[in-house]
Amino acid sequence: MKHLPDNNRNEEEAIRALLKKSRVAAPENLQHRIIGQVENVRALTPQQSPLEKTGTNVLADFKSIFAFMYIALIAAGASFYFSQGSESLKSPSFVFIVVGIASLFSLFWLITRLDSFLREKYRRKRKS
Amino acid sequence: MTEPARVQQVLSGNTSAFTYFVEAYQDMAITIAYRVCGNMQDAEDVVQDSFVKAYRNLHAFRGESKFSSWLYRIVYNTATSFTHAKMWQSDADLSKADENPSDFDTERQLETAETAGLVNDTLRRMPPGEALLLTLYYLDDNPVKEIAKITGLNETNVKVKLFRARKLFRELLPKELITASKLIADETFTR
Repeated sequence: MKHLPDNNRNEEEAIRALLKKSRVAAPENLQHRIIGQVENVRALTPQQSPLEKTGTNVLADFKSIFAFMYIALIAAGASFYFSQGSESLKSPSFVFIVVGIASLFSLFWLITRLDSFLREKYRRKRKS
Repeated sequence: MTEPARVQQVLSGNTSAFTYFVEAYQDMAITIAYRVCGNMQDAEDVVQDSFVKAYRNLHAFRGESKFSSWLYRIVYNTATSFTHAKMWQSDADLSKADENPSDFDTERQLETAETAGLVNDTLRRMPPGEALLLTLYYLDDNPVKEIAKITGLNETNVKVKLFRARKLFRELLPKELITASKLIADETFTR
């Protein structure tokens, strides 16, 4: 306000002095009402359980499921190799078993992903 | 303790830390709501609703602006959507504004009512947006930049509207009150 001429500055101060008196005082019970409602909001907000999944971890699911798949494939390969020899690894029955195991685990991974997606969607809906 | 630290306390689950914000800002919040709504009942509901909204969305407060500006913005938005008020209609409430102050028995008013009552009456007769700008600028000493953030207007617009509001306030204010306040201001300025 330093740039204002004196009479303008005076007028500013006059308006300021008047408007300083126009503050509306909040009623005494308002604070209690607000804090009470805030407490209610807090009580009604579901606290996240530490066991609850906080998000979707695609890589963790991927690693755990496909690690088991490769263990199963190695076990199947080893059993074919030791019981029927190296030629059995080229047989159609072994290929069929490999494809079967891979499909089964892939399907399982797909179900896991779908489950995570639906859980997350439900969680967001509940939050909003 | 600083306000960002208090915000962190509330976010970490200490609800009682929120009491500080209610105590510190409830008067100004209700003043803003009252300017928009025009009655205390609605203003109280708006302020209660605004504080709850602020609590729910406290995680979204990044501390880039003052907490008060952030809160007043919530109060302003809640009040305008509550009343569906057209805040920036230039001819709004002109029927009320056109009432001639001389129609009032000013002397009697000065005798019976306090200055605050007269100032509030004058502000009530102004369009709500302009009354709100005067309140934010003079009562709470908010700079134009903060007022722009609160109301969602740009700074130039705030300055223009503030100029008009000041002019209208002077026109509507009982003349005795202007003289008296000028004398007070003269005294304080010359000191």
